[in-house]
Amino acid sequence: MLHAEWPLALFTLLGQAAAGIYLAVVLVREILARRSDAGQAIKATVLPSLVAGGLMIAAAIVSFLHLGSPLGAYRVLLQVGSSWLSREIAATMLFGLLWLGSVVVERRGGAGLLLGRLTALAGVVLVLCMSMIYQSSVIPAWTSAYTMVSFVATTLVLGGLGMLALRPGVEGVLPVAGWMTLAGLVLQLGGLPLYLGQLAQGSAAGRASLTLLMGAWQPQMWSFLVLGSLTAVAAAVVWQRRVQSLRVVYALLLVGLVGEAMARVIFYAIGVPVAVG
Amino acid sequence: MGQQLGFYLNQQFCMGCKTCAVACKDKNDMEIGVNLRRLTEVSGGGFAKVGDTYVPEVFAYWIGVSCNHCDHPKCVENCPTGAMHKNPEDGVVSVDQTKCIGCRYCTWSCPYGAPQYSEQRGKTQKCDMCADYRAQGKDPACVTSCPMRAIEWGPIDELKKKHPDAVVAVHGLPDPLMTSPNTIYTSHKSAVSGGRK
Repeated sequence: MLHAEWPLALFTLLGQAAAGIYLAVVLVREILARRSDAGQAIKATVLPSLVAGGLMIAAAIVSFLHLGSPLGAYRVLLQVGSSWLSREIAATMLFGLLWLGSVVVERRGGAGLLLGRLTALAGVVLVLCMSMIYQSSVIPAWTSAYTMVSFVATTLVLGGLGMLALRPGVEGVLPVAGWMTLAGLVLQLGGLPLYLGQLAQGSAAGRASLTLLMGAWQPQMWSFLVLGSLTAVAAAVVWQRRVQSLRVVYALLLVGLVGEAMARVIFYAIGVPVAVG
Repeated sequence: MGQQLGFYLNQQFCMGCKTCAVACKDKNDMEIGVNLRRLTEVSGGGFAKVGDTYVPEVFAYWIGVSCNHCDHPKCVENCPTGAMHKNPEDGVVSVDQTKCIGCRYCTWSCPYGAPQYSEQRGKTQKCDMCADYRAQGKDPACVTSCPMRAIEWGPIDELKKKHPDAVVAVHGLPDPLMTSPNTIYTSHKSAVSGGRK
């Protein structure tokens, strides 16, 4: 299954990183706005805001690579009433428009805190729509609630670590990044045993996914577990000791990113449909 | 909606010759790997002790699958462009090639593997019960080609009346409650799995 899904793996990672970083931006702004003024809060978070928008644009471009006939992509919004894929694209566009509106308002000197909150909310909705696409499939490895847990976790981890790497010295970034990263990894690693148990007790396709996970994809699985645990411990240390060394922060981002990418590759690789023949 | 069309397959007659699959592939000019009608062998069993010796107690039968033109097709529900649609006149589920963008969401949505993605065309293909043949008053290619006359098509209510022993659930197929398929089977004796009519 994986060979055909590289663009989707990249799209979901980029989209979730964008949504996560923007969520971190809004959380940091909320903290700063209470301590100083809203203008200062926005100035301190301009770079991660721009990076989040850039990542979402990159995600949208990459998503076209997944389509067999991309010229008809405009039709993808026609079934918002029933298709989670339509809703996902609608949420992506909504995020993009709100983000653009925020940037314009901020450029003109406005505070734009409300617009920012709405943009972050659109990002969260996007991540939920992304996971529902897979949860509404007939692939037991994807229909589990762990898909949503895992996607939300990736959003929190990449958002927290991305924010930390972009604005390590700004007040409020360390606690926000620390909370997001740790919460994400606790969800992702903590939910894994339950997910594996579900696969083991499920249909033949679910058990086939588990066989893949414990067989051909076991090295990647262990890599994810080691990198995820390492990221959680390192993030806790950075947060508690208030480490601001760029080398340490970049290394933490790299380890976290590789771990999340590994988890995403595994996600697509073990997708076995219940279909016959 | 008009009369819902469906398929009937007699597993007791099917010998797994795959003529139906080849006829479908030829008629629809499918590339290698894209098969709108497929046959899967289900086999099992072992040795059973009878007195002082062991005798083979094995079974094997075939499941023929194409699109079941379900009452609740997940492929239609999940398709983002409306390319995958259910004809209100006859209930046949087909894909509009002018609208399909090749996102493959339908291939993740069907428990029977009916929509198949064509790399060459960049779009999904699926059984439309040979709509063009039916418009000319002909039978679908799989039905005509079967040397055992194990496949029939028509209004599903009529097929059910004609074959009162036929069921929708046979061992080896996904739970019919997922999508309410419109294919019924006269089960092979080893394939009965509490089959519901």
